[in-house]
Amino acid sequence: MTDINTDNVKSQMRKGVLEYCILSILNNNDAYASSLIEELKNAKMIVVEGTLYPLLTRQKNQGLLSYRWEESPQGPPRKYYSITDKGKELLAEMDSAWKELVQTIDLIRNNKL
Amino acid sequence: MKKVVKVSIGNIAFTIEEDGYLVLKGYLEELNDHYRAKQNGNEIIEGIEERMSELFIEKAGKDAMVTLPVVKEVIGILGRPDDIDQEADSATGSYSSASAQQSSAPKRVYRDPDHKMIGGVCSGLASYFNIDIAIVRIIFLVLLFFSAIPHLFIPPFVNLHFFGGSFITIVYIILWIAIPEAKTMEQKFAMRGQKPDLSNIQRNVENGMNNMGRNIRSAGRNSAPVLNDFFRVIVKIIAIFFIIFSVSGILMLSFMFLGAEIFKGFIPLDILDYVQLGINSTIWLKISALAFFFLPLIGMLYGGIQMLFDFKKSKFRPGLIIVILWIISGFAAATLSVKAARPYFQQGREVSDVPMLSKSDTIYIKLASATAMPQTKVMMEGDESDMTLFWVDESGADRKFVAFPKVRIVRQSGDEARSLNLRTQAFAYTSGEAMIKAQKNLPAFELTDSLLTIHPDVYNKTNKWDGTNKTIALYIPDSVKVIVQEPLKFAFDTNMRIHSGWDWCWGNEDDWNMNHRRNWNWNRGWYHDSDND
Repeated sequence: MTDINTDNVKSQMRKGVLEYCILSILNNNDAYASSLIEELKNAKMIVVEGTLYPLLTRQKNQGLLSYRWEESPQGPPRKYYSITDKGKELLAEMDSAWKELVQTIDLIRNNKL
Repeated sequence: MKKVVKVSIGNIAFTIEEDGYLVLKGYLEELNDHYRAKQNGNEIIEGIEERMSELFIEKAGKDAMVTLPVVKEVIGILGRPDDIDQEADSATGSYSSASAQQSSAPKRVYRDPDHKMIGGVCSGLASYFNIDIAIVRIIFLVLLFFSAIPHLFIPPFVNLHFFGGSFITIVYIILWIAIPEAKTMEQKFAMRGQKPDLSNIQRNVENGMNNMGRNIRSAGRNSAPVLNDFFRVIVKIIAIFFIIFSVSGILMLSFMFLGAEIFKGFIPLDILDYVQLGINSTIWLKISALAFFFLPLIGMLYGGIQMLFDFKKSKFRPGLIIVILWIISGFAAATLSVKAARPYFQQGREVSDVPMLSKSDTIYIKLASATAMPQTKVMMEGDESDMTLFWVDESGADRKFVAFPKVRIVRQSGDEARSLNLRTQAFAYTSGEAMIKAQKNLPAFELTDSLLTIHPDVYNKTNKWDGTNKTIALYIPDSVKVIVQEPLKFAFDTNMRIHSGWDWCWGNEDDWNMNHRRNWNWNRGWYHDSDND
């Protein structure tokens, strides 16, 4: 027997937009991984912090973001992430896709489609 | 005193209690095992280690001892590889091994109501075995065909069943009853061995919506509407072709089977009632044969109309009903035909010679019939000095077919003895029966001097035609002239030729003018003048 628990559904929904969130945050400011985690945790987008790292690596591999080493509050230099031009392009597409998705869902929910 | 271990994590030195260190070591090894093989996996591990150092400082203070509870708490915050993957993995993810396991569930077989043709058995099995539905359906159809074969090809000893292919049909019905239908979302996922989590739902929705999405996307571009219109036009053209083809087909078949009156009030299909068959009633043979020929055309007409006007599919699924009826009628027609042909499985022959004593240089043939030959609608088979005469007597209440034996003239040299050679070919279920039938059924004739009177066989609905054919061959010298005295007034001499083949002949009396008749080309239907021949 399987049952659909709401936490699972929520986490599944978040999954798709996590990368979108990361790019959005970096679009506002360059950031350390730790501050990204803070924001995402505050927004309840992630539960376990380790989640961020595979995503950052993946996006870096895709050329969507880059990092430089900067002194951190804790002392040793840490990766300071910023969004690339390619990342900005993708972000723009994601923005419009997101708007479209929200509209579509609204329409579906209000039974106007 | 507790043992402590000094380690460097994220380029910061920490002092950790030994039990905490062991747990931490296990966690780091787990991470290492999981990410080492991935692309830039070490970066992920480094990142997590860095974050770990930050968390240790936050939880325990910069130079304090890291205890087991802190280690456990930090590991809980960072998450184990499986947790991380579950959260981080999106559709494009490459770290999916764990999530793939997560979203699989025990497979169960269900009938699939969303892709069903009949009961959803084939589609359900296809889902269960993860193969194309078409393959399962083809397997079922092949089995259907093969389970009908014994009925089709081993007729003599097996009593034919009305419907072959019953075996697989029964199997199908049993499966239909036994396998539950996937009604809920959960069951539909279990049918494919998936858990109903969001990524699976998403994947299925994506697959299902692919085409729609493509259409929406392409509609935005300039070239797309043209392409869409183009396809719509193609569909309409195909629809119109379907309609024209099916309507003309239906008209043609109607004419062939039902419309063309060969004789007054007599349609071709009725011939079955005058032929001896291995079945008692021809009604089912007629119905199944008509259904077999007409149903595809009716289905095509329906499909064409639906494509042309784009109306909603009916709940009753007429297309499916037509296909099922067509398959049933095909098997019924095939099995009934084989059964009907049983009286023709074996043939027997009888030959008998009768000497002709007359030395006359002319032989007269009289075709003796109780009823007069009609002026029209006579069927005749002609050959070089070889003819069959056949007509339909519609004078009485019951229609009768009057068929004379074939008359053949075999020329021989003058010194050889003249003779009449009688032959009968008969058909029956066994050779013995056929031979006895042939022996009892030699051509009926009377020979008095130079006059040969030949009697016809008369067939009607009770005395049905059974394939028996008879020949009277006249072995006579070249010099002897043969005159068919009555009713044809037809003369054979050495130069006479009637062309081979047979033809339906109908027309008015002028066409049957006695002067012309002997030069009628039976095969091609034109006259020619014998003087110029």
